[in-house]
Amino acid sequence: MSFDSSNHPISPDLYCSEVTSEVIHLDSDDEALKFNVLWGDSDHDDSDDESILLNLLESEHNQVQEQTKFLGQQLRKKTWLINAREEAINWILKVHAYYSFKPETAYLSVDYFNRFLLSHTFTQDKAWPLQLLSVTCLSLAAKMEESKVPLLLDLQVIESRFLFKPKTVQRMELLVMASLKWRLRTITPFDFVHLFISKLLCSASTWGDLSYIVSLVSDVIIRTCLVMDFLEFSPSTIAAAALLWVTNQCVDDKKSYCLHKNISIEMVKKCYKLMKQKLIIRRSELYWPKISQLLPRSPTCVLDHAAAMQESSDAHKL
Amino acid sequence: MLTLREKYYDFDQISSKVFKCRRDDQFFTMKIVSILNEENQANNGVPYWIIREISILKELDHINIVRLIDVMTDGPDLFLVFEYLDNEFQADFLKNPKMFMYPQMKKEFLYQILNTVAYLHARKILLRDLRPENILVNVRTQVLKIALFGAARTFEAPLEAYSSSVGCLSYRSPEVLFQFGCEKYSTPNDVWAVGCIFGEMLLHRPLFSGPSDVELLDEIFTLLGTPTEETWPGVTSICGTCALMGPPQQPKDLAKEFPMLNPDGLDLLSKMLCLCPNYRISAEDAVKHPYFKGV
Repeated sequence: MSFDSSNHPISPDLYCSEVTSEVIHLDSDDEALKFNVLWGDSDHDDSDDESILLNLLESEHNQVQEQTKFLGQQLRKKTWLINAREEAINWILKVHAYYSFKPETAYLSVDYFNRFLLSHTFTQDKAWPLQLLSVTCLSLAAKMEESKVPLLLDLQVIESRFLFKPKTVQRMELLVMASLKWRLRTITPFDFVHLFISKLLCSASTWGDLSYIVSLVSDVIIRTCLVMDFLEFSPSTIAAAALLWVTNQCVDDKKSYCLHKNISIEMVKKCYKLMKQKLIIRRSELYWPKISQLLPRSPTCVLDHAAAMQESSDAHKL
Repeated sequence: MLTLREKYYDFDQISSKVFKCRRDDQFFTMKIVSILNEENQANNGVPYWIIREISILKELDHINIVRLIDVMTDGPDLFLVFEYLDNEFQADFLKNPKMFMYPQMKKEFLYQILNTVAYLHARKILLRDLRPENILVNVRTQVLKIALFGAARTFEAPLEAYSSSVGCLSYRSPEVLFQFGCEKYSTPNDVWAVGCIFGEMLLHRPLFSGPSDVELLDEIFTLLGTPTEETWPGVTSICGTCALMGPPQQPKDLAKEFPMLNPDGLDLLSKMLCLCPNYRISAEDAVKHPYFKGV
């Protein structure tokens, strides 16, 4: 499989065969050493970073993290919704990649989607409500995070079975925001990544290209959105585990710096373990879809589709 | 879910889009925001700036910030429900004559402003347009409130054109003035605005009041001296053309300009009005300054 790097960002393959075998066969001593990197005693003193991190962890605690844990339980009772949710999130990630949105936008879209699922019931017989929810959550996240926000119709050019009028999406936007109590500024794992990296290393040169590390970590974090089991972990836990996961691939260096005493070592271990299981199993599923799938329909086709959808979207009033 | 008029009642108009209203025995201030008031946004759902500002306000919980309690929708309008501030809270706090009766009150209010700014910056929120008109005070209880709606922004998601040059120029920092509407605000700009307010408390008039960017910069440099590469590394690449600098001027003695201020106060003021944004004191450090000992 090949990509045209001048058109689309390339996600590097994290799992060459040698590294994969190293990961699979890590013994318990190595595991213990790896986690000591996070919780060893630290003389590192950066009070600004420290207070920022403390504020983030407090905000994270105040936000309704417990609720998304319940979503995992609820989803397991409805097999069809697990599949429908994954399909919806895959769609969000494709549009995200097409427009080269920030990683935060992808994560926030899924966060809004999950939180809305918690408070509303969907029936299996209709597919369009989840599609409308996907468009709406992506639109809201883009409006929160991006410099350039595509028109609502343009957001729907990628593999959309339904095309919703802007007015319909706007009504859904208001419904979603009311459901989320207008609290759209969610703490994400990305808020922690740079802070954790600066704690994990003494000098940037040790790690070569920092932006490469960040992009790998971002890719792992986005992949967690697709796996329901990660819902039980807090953003800071996901960030810590993702960074450990990524740096284990790249650098065998066990500096003993402490990320933060408020972060649970057990949860990070559990999250890390889940990453190992899920992401290795899914290594064949590349995040970036084939280029041909990204090509937008011609303007004429879009207009025809819009005209056809006008009647059905009228019929699908909320 | 209750509709707007089921939940709130006894509407009393305060200004064109602001109402006082009631629920049970509690009063609120309600502000109407139209979703459709921008034509180019009509086909793109709820405008991004409304979404961002409301989500910012919804997460803030600070005694010195007017609190957003509820958001209701009714047709094309949003109704923002804020805590109600009674008659004891007076807007545009620097025009309150009691402000000047008690010197300690100035220090108390300055501390509250800086504490609020530090709280916001810790959450990556900029004020951007902090000025006396947005600040209300209750001189009896010595509590100050900042009204944020229409002003707050986050650090991380800049848009090319946030807005036209809304708001008074007097509280804009030199690095913002140098960029003529290419608005790249950051936390030091908020601190500069607080410094201007501090000076205004002391002098009973705006520190800088020029009607244009150029005149304002001239007033700033008249008081604080023309910046050089030594006092502000990188300034020549920022200001674009040397014409903005004007002829070189030496800084005035702040102690003579502000004779009522003690040495700690002079130190704090000079650090808040430091020309170089990177050297300017942060709000977090400012609240710990010796000037506030005993507050």
